[in-house]
Amino acid sequence: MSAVYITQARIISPLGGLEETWVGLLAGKSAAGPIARFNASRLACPVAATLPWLDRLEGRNSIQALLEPLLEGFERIPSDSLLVWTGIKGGVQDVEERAAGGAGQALSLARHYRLWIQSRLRLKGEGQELNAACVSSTAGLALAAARIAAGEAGSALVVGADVVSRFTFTGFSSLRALTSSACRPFHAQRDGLMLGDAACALQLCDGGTADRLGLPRLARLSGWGIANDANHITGPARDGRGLVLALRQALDQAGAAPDAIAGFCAHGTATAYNDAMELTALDAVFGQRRFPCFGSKGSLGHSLGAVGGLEAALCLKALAAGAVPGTWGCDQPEERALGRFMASTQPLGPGGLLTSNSGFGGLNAALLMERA
Amino acid sequence: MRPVHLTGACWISGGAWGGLRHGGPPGFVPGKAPLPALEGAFPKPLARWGRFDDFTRLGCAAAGLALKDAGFSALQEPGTGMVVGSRYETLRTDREFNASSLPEGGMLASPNLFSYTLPVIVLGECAAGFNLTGPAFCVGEEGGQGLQALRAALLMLDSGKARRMIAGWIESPPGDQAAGAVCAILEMEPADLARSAGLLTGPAPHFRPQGGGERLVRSLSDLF
Repeated sequence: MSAVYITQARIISPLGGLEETWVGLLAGKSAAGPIARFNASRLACPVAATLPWLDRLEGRNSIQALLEPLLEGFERIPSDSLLVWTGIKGGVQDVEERAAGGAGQALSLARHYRLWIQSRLRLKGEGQELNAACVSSTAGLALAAARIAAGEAGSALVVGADVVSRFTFTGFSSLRALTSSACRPFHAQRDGLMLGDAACALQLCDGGTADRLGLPRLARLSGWGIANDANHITGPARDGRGLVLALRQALDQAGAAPDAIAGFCAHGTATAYNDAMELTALDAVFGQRRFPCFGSKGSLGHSLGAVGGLEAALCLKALAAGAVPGTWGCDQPEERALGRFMASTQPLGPGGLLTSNSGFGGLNAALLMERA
Repeated sequence: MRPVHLTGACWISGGAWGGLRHGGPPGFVPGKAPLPALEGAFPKPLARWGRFDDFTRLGCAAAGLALKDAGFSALQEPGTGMVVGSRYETLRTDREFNASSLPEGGMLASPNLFSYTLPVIVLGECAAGFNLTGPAFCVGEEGGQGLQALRAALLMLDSGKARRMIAGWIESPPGDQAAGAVCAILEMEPADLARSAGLLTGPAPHFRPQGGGERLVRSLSDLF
């Protein structure tokens, strides 16, 4: 089996590109603000982490508008690279516009976006669309890594993007999953999630391909896991069993003991049940050992099909910097989060960095990244 | 890639259905799927069946009947996953959900319909109903009726992330196009080798039936 490396990573978050986002997280910034994109005036707390320039598209496709700057000048992607597209709700703009009597969008189905990206980057290799709800880009990275490890591809590009839409906002609001105050992952009084705009693109390569292309080995993707709670379609298993399985799969694949893990990037949606489930899973896998953990969604919101890739890119920065950023809003962690999550930056020692996401359908996925 | 046993399968379409061990070969035609003979397909009643959208109902029925075809009434041990392919995914449900909220202000959106605007919900319903704890995700299909799902399922088995996978295809498209579903049960080491209908190898899937011969698989229908 070939070793798999992350060789390039780009994001666009409500705080900017990868460098600006990283600096913003270290500075304790949050992009939360009132929604101007659509009328949500009759819903409680219409707040999200949005990119204001996406509010003024006048009929342009919002996912394309987000992907264009993300992919601009993206080089050293071989034409035979596998492309995995993980945006999950790109079609809702078409649905909304047709329902309002408009002509809709030329791009609506997932494969339309995948084909458009392949054309834009002149990729002639295989393409794949993957939808695993909020786990999509995490599972997309795992699938791409599996195909590289099996020798089916030398290079793969995983791209995801989702934007805050009226469709998704009203849906999460109807489930009463949105915060009515502020998104505060792992806070003792957290009360819900905040949606966000984001896009991500990460390239994975085997060692030989990375060397041939002159690409740096930003991190080794040494293990991954995907597992299901087998419990409920929208609520996580209270005992965290699916996440425990996914984390243990990733550790086992890498041959890493729990003690070899230096840090953890949590899904941390700030819903009462999700964050409690993650803490239960951490207890099950790591016992009472405390190490630096963080979550991004108080600052950047939850970007659905893009969020796993976005957080993997942040983990690359954390590994390089030897630090994990603070978790915005976590100034009063719940008891089991004490010594793990805090609002300020924490040093990251030697060892691997785990990142995981959990989502509707009982899905969980985890990636183990190590310094190359 | 290590060979994998095909131990059960089911297809459902407008007015007809079948499995490896009964019924004819798949034929996907327009019309309401019969969702037939579900007795015994589910180890326990699916409590939310009445809430399911058509996409989820088709997928759960095909998965349950395929498991039954493979000889399972319930899965006790962990490590079974499910990958489903689709082209239109939940587009019909997306449109229904979008119409459920008031145009101004966003109120009255249906929480039940919103859940089913994600194609992975069928995986969650199957996982809860059949105790599927392995890898689960949906993939896009161009026209292969489950080919991408089959490839991904074989990869999950070969990489050691699952001992058994359900590879599926579900289509519940808008308009008058044919709806249907296929599910196949793939096992690395079946407890009863007599249940094996043949061996699959990847990454470009080939099927070698017990009766001999070998053929390239272009869709899940090629397994019948």
